[in-house]
Amino acid sequence: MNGPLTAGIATLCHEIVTKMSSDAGGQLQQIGNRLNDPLRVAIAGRLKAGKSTLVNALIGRRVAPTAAGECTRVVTRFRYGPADRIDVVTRDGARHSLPLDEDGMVPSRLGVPAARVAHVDVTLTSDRLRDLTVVDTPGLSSTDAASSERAEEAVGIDADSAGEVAAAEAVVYVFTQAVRADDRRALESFHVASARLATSPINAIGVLGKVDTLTGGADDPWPTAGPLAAQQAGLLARTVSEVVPVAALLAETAEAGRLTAADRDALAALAALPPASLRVLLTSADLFRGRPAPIGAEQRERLLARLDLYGIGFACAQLTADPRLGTGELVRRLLAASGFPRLQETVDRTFRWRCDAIKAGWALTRLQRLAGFTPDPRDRAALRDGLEAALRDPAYHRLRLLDAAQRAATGAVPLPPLWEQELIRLATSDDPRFILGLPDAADEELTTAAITAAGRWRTYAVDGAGPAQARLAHVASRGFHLLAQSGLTRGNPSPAGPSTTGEVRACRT
Amino acid sequence: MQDLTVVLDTAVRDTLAYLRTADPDAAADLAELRRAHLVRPSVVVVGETKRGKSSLINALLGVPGLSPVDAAVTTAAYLDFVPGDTFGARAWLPDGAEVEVDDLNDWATGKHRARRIEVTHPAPLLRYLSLLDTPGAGGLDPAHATIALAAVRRATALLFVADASAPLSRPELDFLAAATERVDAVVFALTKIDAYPQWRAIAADNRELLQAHAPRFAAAPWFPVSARLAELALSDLPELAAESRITPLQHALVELAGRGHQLRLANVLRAARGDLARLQDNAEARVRAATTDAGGQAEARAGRNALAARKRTESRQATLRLATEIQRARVATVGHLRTRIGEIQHELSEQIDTTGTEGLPDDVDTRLQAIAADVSERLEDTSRRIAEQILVDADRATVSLRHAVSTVPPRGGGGDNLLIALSAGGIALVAGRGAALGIAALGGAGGLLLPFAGIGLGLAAGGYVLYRRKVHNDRRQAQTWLRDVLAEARAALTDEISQRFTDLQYSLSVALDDTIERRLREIDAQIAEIDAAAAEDAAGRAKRRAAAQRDHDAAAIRLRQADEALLRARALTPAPIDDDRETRR
Repeated sequence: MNGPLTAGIATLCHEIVTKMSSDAGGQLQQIGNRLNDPLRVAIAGRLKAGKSTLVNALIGRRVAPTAAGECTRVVTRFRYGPADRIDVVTRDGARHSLPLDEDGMVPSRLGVPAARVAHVDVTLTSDRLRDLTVVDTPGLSSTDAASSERAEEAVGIDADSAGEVAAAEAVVYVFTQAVRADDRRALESFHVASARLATSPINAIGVLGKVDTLTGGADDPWPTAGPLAAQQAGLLARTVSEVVPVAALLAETAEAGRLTAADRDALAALAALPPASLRVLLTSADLFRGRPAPIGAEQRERLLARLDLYGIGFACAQLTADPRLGTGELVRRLLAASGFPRLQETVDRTFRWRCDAIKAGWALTRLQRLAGFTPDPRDRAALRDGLEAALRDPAYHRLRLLDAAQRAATGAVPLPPLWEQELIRLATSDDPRFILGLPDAADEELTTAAITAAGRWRTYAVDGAGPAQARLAHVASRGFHLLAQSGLTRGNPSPAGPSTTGEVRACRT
Repeated sequence: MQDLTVVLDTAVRDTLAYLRTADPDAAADLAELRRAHLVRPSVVVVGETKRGKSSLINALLGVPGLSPVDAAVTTAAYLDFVPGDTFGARAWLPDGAEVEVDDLNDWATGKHRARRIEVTHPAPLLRYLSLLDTPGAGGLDPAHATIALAAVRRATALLFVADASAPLSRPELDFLAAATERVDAVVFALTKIDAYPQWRAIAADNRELLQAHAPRFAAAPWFPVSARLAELALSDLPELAAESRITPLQHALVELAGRGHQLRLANVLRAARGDLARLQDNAEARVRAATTDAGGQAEARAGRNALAARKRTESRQATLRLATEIQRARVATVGHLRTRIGEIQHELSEQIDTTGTEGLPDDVDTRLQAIAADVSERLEDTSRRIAEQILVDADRATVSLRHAVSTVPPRGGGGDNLLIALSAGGIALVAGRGAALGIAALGGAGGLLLPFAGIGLGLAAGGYVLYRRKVHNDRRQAQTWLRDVLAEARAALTDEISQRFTDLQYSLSVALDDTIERRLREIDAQIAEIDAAAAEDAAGRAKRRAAAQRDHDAAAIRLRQADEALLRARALTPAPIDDDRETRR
């Protein structure tokens, strides 16, 4: 899953490790290994925003406990492993192993007081985790100040400190209904916590969770959710690149396969009710529990816990329209209705590709430091040579672009909005059509447009900009120049970036 | 409960009737006080943004869509719902201008930057109380929270709105902790119970959290409600009305309002009791005068002289002490103001540096509003403290201060009219050691945002224009602009503070003099009585004595009635919510 930049550095590590003394070689090995780790995404947000539910949906298995009250109190990392196991890592570094409980979930009692737990390390055989490590965090703004602090530690990214285990390369910030002032503050404070890899539009996205509760009852929330998410994205433009609305509960149920054929039959029985009484039944959870209906109380509670009123209403509507709908197809439609595919696509597009550069940047800094501090002069020379050779590759210009985009996006160097967006597009994508905003252009057009853009940025750098802007503009100009060249040589956009703008639009609707 | 209102009301009426014959001056004062006190109880609705405050208000009033509700917008202005025959709305701009509102939606969601919008509506609930919808205390934003807290201070009760999506968060609990110092009665509403199946668990969690973090409210009632079901019930599914659970909350609020009314009546009665006690004392003195012989007469005269001399020196000392206290308080308040403005300057200029100039004028406006609320609160507290310190031995303080209120010197000048009105309002608060809660409602939730409209004016009229013309996106210009605006605001507030303290000194000296004068007059009358009694024979003296005794008895009866009523009312004051629960069970 590694991108070209990371792969390049990994190869470099691999090649020169043989020439190194054992000490420096060991460190080199470590850096190389770290490069092969899957992408780490931390899920952060206020308490009860639905973080754990989202985690379950992302993993495709219901392992993180979710409950009515405040639930997650320790940082939990879910990663791929050969067997399902839980390690509770305490602050003194000791590990206590636990089995998953009988439902296949992380038990709510860890056997160690939460205050002593550094983090919980969960390895699962789930395929989804092969190229994605998910870090679940306790809610921010919790009355339990200690767990909020643990969450901030986990998300404030600090690659060198002891928090590295829990530290993440990307952040998904979950909020409900609307961004509150403290959400913004929390996001900004991550930013302050670490200057280099803090949340910025480069490595963070927002998720508008629980959209199914926006309108209440079984009404379709999407007409409200879409514009609301767009509006919130505007508010958070400095901290997240996009806000994706998701009904995480539906996604969890669909992805973790929690809807059985029996459930489908129960839903079909409900769908057979006259529309008026079904409507009353679905106006509130209490009514759904209490009103007379063709299915038993236990079954109702089960449906409520899995689908919520909106999901039940949606499923009933689907079953009314097509009474012979099978469970599998129903689940598939529910997943589509949850908005989860778009989130997955966004995570993929936003993080995977950028992460390549972020990780490569991290590794280069470490390698350079290693080159500076290694006692053995031969080691130093070998490292320096290797680095020089690697950096000659124009692909590594992306690192500088990313840095420039980060400066622009966080407002450190103010650019006019349109220019800023263009720079961010340039740094975060490799699809020339997306970057240049020409979704249907032919190759020649793209090349011309890229050359024009390069010229425009150079002009901007020379006059009309302050020294800081000029530096960014030069980087951008070179970036467009390289883009024009790559367009000429390659002839078509890379298949790695799945995102033509057209596709993105299709997902949004 | 209801009969307590009747008891109190009768007691006030009887006392007033009695005073009209015995002491018309005092009766007039009291009638005035009663009018001022008996304004409508107000309930302030607070909570974080997007918790469903506006929807809840609509449901409570039974008018869907009255307070604008939309998932994408939030209420941005203070909406004051008051009773009226027809639906109408008026808005106050930050510079104190008043505008008729045609489209409430636009106004309430902040397109016009109104500070406060008064909505009149014939809804039945409004006949019992007025409701104030606040912009959500957005998470941790301290400026918004301060303004909301200032609103809470003027209110009879607080309706705290949380929703069933999550347990109370840290900022919410902090806000509650701050609110407890300002208001006794808090009612909790848990909204959106229709959308969250687990609302019962959340409600239980919330109770536990309150137990741990704000134990005073541990026993406070929680009302789970669903505004959406209430709306559906009104439109086409009437069978959902019970399910929405709005009615119990309505009843609780009405009951609470009733109790607010009782508290106010009790306060009026308490003031009246002071007058009654004075009358009784006078009558008793007359009785004594009628029975005294020549020896006692000389003694009384000597006592009178001693008293007069002591009062005069005391008066001098008190005046001096008053001046010192006021001076000290002024310095402290101005110092506090400087610190606050400094903090804001620091904070905002950092904000300019990191995130740019976007939305700066609005931030400044909000922060100034918060400062104004903070400073006026301080002023109020200081005034009350000083009044209590100075007048603590003059036990007729409350009575005399009522005169003081009406003698505040007027100040000229257009916009200042507002300030005068509210200066008077501010000082009226001094009158109440006991009456604090009652009189506070005089300024009403409405007054609260206006006293410092003068500052808003500086920003609203000139500030925005200047900002648009000069600043654009230039950070340096923005810094300059910020410095200018804050300096101006500080100057304006400092002036205002000095004015307030001058006013305070004036009215307190008047009150002090008045108290002493009155006391001396009473003693003089007593002496005259003694003289007259000495001049008459035994029969005349007996008649005089009988008359005095009658007066005394009449006053004593009223006094006893008032005391009884007050005793029953005492149960109201300490923990209204708890005793409310007791009675409901």
